[in-house]
Amino acid sequence: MTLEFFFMQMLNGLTIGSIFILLSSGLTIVFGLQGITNCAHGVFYMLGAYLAVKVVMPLAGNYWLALVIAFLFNFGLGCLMEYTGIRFLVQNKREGTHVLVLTLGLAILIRELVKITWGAVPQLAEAPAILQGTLTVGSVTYPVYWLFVIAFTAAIMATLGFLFMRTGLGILVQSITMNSEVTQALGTNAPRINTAVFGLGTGIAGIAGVLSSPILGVEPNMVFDLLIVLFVVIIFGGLGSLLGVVVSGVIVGMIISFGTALMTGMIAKILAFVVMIAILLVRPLGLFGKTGILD
Amino acid sequence: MAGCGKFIWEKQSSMLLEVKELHTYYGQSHILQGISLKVDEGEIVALLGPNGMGKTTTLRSVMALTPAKSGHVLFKGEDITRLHPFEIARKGIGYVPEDRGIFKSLTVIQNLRIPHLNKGRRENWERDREKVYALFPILKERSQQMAGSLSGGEQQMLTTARGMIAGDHLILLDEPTEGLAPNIVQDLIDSLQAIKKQNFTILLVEQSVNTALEIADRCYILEKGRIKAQGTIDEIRRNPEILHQYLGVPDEK
Repeated sequence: MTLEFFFMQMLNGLTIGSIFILLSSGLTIVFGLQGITNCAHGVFYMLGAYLAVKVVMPLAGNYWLALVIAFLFNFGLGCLMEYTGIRFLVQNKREGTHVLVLTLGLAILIRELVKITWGAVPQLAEAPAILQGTLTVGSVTYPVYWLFVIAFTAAIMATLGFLFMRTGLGILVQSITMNSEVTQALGTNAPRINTAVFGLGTGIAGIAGVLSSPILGVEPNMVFDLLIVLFVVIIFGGLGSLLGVVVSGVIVGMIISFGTALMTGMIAKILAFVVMIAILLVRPLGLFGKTGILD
Repeated sequence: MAGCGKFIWEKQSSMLLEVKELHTYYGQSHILQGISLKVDEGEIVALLGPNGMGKTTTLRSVMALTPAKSGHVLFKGEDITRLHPFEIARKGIGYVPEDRGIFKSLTVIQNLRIPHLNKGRRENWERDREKVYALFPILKERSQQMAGSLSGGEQQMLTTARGMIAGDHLILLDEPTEGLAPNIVQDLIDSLQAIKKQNFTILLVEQSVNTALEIADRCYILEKGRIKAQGTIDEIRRNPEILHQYLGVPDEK
């Protein structure tokens, strides 16, 4: 293993780790807030990518516009999904299996609709001209686009961190995670905040779809492709913890990257699972998991 | 004077909270079987009774945390029965839960800010904050500490202060002295009396009859989901057999 290879895989790991982080953040926060597992999260990832590649880029040719539209569209769709379906189930104390089944069903439905609309052929998108090309540091050559993905993800996570730790809204969100009933008895409009945060997570998933379209490709099975890995990431990092998602996203990204390069993709995923189980044996709540969310 | 001691009185001041014929269920279990009570402005009213009889459920039904099946709750004359808990809180009812309900991973000051964030910009944060700091100086001292690191008595002060910020001006207090050492209980009683002087109205659920007798103006005795007796503190003191009948032998003070 040469040094160049090592650095290349590290960058690769950071890049796909970034995609994992963006996708997992929405999942983990929503679990912390409402105790639900949204199996349709991949839908927003897929729709973001398809909107960019099939709608915005052909019509307007602007990659940045695609990012904005992917966020707004999936934010709206996510809020709608939460408001109409999930909220009803949660309020009637059916968070567990019912939400799983509902979101799974929706995911399959929307995937098939996309297949009908745009076909099932996988495609690789093109990075915008300004981000194409490579950067050479020492003897290693990096694709500029990868660096952009990492930097953009870092910026989004920093913004989320600021939002949840330093603003009034963030304090309310944290309080819902800890004790939804008591904070509502203190005036917190938890139903509305839950909807908005759900939408925030799905909007970010849409952004992840656009970001990953030149790297991981665009196809209808994006809906379920990464779902298993995402669950590893959020459990590994600790359900409900943003910091956990960042750390474990990077680690899992590295495992997948090195694993795929050195062995096969399948073995890499198995390895990720093994590491997760090992960590859970030592820290049953994941790296940064907090008690109370699972009560 | 045996049997149900029911005393009637007339009050001139306005009624802040009125509960009418509340029926609440936990699943099939009929917990509240037609609870009626009222709290006038400026009073401290105690709800007494053996455990598991519906005292906490009464407060939870007022807040719609355990919504009532039938009956009405009126706050300042307005029917709030069918509102969501957060809407009821925003009308000006401060809720201080049993077990304190502290957000342990937030700081003291963040805990205090929560009801204020929900009240909107017209309210003055500095004024609210200084008001509770004046009453509970230890909270000011520990304002940046994690709420989970506070002692039991301090946590009770925090949750009470939080209820004061939420309440305008009614506070529902659920078992505030539970699990506290006797000297801390005395501090708490003094604080509650000071709160009352600041124009707050308190509906208090208490296990400890002595505490209730010390601070309440009136009390209701709840047993098996119904109000069995009620009266002013003087009336209760003059007829201690009421307490004996429903709550066991009280200590004579």
